[in-house]
Amino acid sequence: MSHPLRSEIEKLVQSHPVMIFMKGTPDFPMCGFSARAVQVLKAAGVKQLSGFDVLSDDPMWEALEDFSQWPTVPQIFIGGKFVGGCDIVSEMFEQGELQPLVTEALKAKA
Amino acid sequence: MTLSLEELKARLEELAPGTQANVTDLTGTRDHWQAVIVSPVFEGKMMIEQHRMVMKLMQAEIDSGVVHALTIKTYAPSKAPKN
Repeated sequence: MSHPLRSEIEKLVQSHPVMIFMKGTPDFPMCGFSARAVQVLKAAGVKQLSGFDVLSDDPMWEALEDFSQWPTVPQIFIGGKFVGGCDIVSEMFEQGELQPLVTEALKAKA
Repeated sequence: MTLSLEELKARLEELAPGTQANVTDLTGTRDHWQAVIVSPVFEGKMMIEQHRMVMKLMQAEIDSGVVHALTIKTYAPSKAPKN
């Protein structure tokens, strides 16, 4: 059985080219990992980052973990697809794999 | 119960033939590990998939607490850093 809030998550990740579920907001992150993920995404060329604060919404937090089958926050979705958390996104940036994904997702939405 | 460095390395290398794991004990207490894993099965896969494969392999040890924390870096052989 799928989680009742699954469609809400689906809607968010489909309607924003780059979407981060995090603790706090992109402007005011409440956790070091979330803050680092935001920084990396900005460095990869994301100008308008859409964020969802899981601290403000426990049911959505639960639904998110169920949706992505990933146990930690932050979670980054690019072009509607789950890309990973802070470590993965940082590593992808260092290897030059993140930037093309971002560029493509932004272009697809433009 | 904890694993030794050699045991963890061997465990990770069960992922697939040709897998090489380089394991570091971050704290000297055999519960916070870092592993750099190079495997042919990672070729052409997104990093999230690579990480999921390793975490799935280690699920039982992580759930039971035998491995408390495992930070991983994964590379396909064609992308592995040379050293």
